[in-house]
Amino acid sequence: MKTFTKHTFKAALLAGAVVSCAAFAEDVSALLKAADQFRLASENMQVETQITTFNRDGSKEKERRYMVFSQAKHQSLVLMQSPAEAGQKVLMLGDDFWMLLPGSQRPLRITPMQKLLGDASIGDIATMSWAQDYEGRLIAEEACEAQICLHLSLAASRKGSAYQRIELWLGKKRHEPIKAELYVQSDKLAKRASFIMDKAAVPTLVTEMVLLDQLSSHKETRVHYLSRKPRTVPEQWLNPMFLAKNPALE
Amino acid sequence: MRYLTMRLMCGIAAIVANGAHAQDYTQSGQLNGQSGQVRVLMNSTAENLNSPLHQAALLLPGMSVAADHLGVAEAELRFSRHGINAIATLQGQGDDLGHSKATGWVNEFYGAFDNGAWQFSAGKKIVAWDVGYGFRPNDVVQQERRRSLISNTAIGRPVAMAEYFDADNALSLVWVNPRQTSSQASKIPEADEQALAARLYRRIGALDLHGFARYGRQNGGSLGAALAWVATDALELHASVRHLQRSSTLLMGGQRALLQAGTPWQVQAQYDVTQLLAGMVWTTESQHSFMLEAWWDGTAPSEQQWRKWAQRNQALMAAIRVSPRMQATIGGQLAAQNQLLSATANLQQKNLFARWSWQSAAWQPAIDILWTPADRGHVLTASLGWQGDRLRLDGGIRHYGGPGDSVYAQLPAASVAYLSATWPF
Repeated sequence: MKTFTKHTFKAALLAGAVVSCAAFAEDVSALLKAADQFRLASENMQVETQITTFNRDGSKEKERRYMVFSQAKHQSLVLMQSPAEAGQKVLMLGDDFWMLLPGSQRPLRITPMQKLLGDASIGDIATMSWAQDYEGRLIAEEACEAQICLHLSLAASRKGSAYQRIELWLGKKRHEPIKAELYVQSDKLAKRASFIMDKAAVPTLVTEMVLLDQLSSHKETRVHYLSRKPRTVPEQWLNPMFLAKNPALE
Repeated sequence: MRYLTMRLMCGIAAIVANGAHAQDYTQSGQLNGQSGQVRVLMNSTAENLNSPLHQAALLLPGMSVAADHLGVAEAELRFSRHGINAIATLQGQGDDLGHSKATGWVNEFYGAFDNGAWQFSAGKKIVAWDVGYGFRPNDVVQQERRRSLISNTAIGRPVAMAEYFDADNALSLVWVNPRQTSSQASKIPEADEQALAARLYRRIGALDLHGFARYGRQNGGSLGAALAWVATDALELHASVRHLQRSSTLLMGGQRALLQAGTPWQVQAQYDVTQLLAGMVWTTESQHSFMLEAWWDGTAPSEQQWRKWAQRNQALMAAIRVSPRMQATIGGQLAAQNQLLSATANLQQKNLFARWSWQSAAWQPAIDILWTPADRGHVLTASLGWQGDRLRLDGGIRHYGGPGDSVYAQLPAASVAYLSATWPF
């Protein structure tokens, strides 16, 4: 009888732990979905961004403009719109990537490593959903930026994610993103990110993401979200061979 | 020359002024359908004193030779609106021999009609299909020049196209050069002949699969296949194969007299020809990129053809000493030897190509080598690119070499240096 009680107690403890872990995981998933809402209001979006890179002395190095069609099932199409890159496109279908250069007239199959180009990688612009691309756990409540934050540690659930690990701090009350540390596959800290909200007191949208390179250039890159609207694009727009036709995509 | 340069600069200034308006963004953030670029390019070529062409020039003092220095200014304008797409180029050239010319051409001009999954287009259009970098046998609608020092916009072919797209598949049907008549067929190269071409594409996860078919009036049928596969986060593999029923090549004609009227090299047909390519691209986390490609081109001159070419060069050089009064004829024959150098996309059938490049902020240095194992000839290129907020600068040097009897060591140029500035608008 004593043995039975002991086993029952252990089983109850184990079951409780499992239920508690599952609930906790669900909570983290809900937290990430809430945090995503500050950048993406819908699964299928058209987002226009402007990326400005600053040198170490604070002078402006370059400015680029991108149109991103972010769609469900980890699908994104990025159109480069600045004169220096006009006509270039990057298509991301899950873990598969293509780049189209206007001179080549054909989509080049690229590796996830080639996607990490530039001071703000294509991943910074096109991979916007933490809830879809990462699994996380809550580390602790911590003081950050003069408030109490929830510190989450996220691990990429897909090999094609721009960063394999993200340390993310969310506001405790509204779960808006405050800051993040972005780690590449070798677990090196690649960038520190901070998020600027539209209204400090009652934030509803991220207006700008500030990235500080930690690997080599130590430059500051500002990703400014110029416009966002729900948009579902035709399925052929997400076919790499269609993009070689250089359609207007308006 | 000065008048031409001024006219050219005025024309380019007008296009840039127009482009300054074109760069304004519409409310939706899209470019409003016009864009382009202005480029200034300087080329400096060192002549190869061991080439048959140089020997021919010594024997024929009046023979036209290439300049050592060439300056090029060009403006390219792109337009796309309401289903009409066009690219046009205006170019002016001047060299140190006092030659200058201004010219212009239309790269693309076609209309496109979108009917959901089916798309139709007709006009002059650039169509590129294959997966390789150094060589693309399955670009069966048009073959653009590969491994050029500066990337230039290709010039399209007259086509009528129907295409079908869904999420993972694409089918392209092309009628190439539809206005080419049968009476001209025997006199034109493959790229200009009337032909039907098709490409079937299927995506299976990390694998792109392509199938190609072409049938031309003169060259008959050909079938091809290609794949591109992202094997790991850092490694991409690609391969391509094409089998041609018939192909045109330059062969030594039946009349083999050393000194003869006209060229001994005649266009002749060869049958059942194969082209193969296999390659890989490996990119590191720190953005070092390594490319390796190997290809076989059955349409290129064989080792036996090159042996005949070299023997004929030697015999002609020896003839100068024996028949000094025949200098002009010998010079003409040596100049004709140059024909075989531009007969096909590849000089040798077996080719190996390796390239290293590194993207570091605005800078991109690169070194590549093309090696022909049959005669150990090589082409070595070093380049450096810089991309500013708008301005792009490129410079580099290409050296042709190998053992004295290798084909690359006998080209008219020993090396080429270049510098270019590109301003997009």
